[in-house]
Amino acid sequence: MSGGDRAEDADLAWHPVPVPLPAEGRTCSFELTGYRLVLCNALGSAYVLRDECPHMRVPLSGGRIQGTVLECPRHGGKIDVRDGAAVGRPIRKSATCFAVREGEAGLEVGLPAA
Amino acid sequence: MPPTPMSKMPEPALDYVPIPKSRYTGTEFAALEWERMWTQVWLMAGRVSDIPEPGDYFTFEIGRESILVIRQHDGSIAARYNVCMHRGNRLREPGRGHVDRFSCLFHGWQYEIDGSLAAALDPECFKQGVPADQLSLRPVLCDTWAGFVFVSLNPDAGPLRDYLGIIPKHLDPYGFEHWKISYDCTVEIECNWKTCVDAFNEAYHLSSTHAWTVAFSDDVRTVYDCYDKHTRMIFPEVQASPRFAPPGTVTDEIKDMFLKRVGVENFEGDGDAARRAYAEAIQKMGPVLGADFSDLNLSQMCDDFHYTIFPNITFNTHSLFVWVFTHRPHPTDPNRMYFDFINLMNTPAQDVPRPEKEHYSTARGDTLEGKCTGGDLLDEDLYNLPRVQSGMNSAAFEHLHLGTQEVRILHHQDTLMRYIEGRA
Repeated sequence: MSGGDRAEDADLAWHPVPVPLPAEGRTCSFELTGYRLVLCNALGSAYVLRDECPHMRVPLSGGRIQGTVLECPRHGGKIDVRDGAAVGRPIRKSATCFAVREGEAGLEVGLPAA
Repeated sequence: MPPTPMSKMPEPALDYVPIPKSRYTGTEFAALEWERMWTQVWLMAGRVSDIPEPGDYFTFEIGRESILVIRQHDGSIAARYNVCMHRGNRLREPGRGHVDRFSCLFHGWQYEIDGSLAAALDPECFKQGVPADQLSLRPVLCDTWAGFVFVSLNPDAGPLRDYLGIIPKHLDPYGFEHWKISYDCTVEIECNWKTCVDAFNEAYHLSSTHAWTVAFSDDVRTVYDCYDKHTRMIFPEVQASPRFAPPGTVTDEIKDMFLKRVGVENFEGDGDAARRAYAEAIQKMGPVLGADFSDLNLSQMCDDFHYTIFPNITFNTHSLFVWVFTHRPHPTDPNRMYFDFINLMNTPAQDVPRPEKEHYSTARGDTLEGKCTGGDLLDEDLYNLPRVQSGMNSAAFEHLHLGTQEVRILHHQDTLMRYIEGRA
């Protein structure tokens, strides 16, 4: 299974992440410029994905992360938060993930420029 | 806390009769085991610490069954069959996770974490109704001891404490509920589950299978005790086998592999002094580890207190760590089984990240060397097991021929047959 879609850095607009990094292994949902997103803490690193399971379009937030693998709370499908790759059924398509960087005021997420 | 009983049990009144190989190779006997033993006893399913919050769950796979073990909103732990009551789909894949509700992938039926039916898609299409009292997840008996979760598929199994018998009195002084998982793997092995249990139930194999270990462990002065269902073997360590060196010899291996590792350099003295030095050095580590050794005697500080809890749990108990094995049968093939191995460290004060479970297979030629402490030792057992099973299936082999050092195997067989014959 391949990694998810990711916009080229040059085409990104960087936005502050409006929520604090959750505890390791946990997730937190938030919205930015019309995107519903989920901030993940996997092994101490931050990752942002579209908060939508590729299987049934239900939120991924609320799922738990073991290592770098997020388990969808609905059916237990698994996604690698590093690249959005589907790594456990019933999820078969990759999730969309977004670039994250440490900005001057904290975490920033890169979304496609309008 | 009362100390671990040390008195030697009388020899069990067992005849050293041949054990038919069909108990290890036959599908008919395996079916009897399932019906009359596995579905009747208490079974170790996992660790309490793996499900700290409401909605956390792990699955326990035993034979043809899969069980969900779930932390409840009130902090208790419950077990339910991992089966959607609509069409029988498994609700969750094997492993650990967290849910707000269990949702079936097949048609979307949802269950609360207590197993009660929460929602069925289009309930009006069921002319007979969707009665929650009949369509909630089926309960499984569940209880805990020493930080371990046990389940029983027998609703009338009786209290876990009664089943465990002498075990809590013997092992509670170690305080396992505070110990941390530092390694977790499952190995699929091409042998019967009892072939694997038996392999760890005697020290008779040490001088051959693990020939290098007789320089620091004593297969000859191992003490075997049989209780009602369960058994013990006190296997001396920090003490060489008389097959290797005269009693009291402090071998280079004892100095290098035990004393130096706990900070005792340039040791001089006899065998008893070496064991005391080893125990005292570990006791000094107590405050850093958060470990309390005050209820353990000198033998417990040095030796392997090896318990087999019927039918399939092995504890290799040391003062600093315990290897816990569970030996699970394959659902259909008596010549295959699953060997679960967790290492618990006596480090209550230290932060030990929960390792992910690793999966291996002897059929693939997997080995454990380099993957965990003691992996090289276990590899020597894993190498034997498929070969033993293969040989058992030979027309030349009819039964096991057991000696007194293998009395725990004889006792295990006797207990098993009590279940098979309805005498348990």
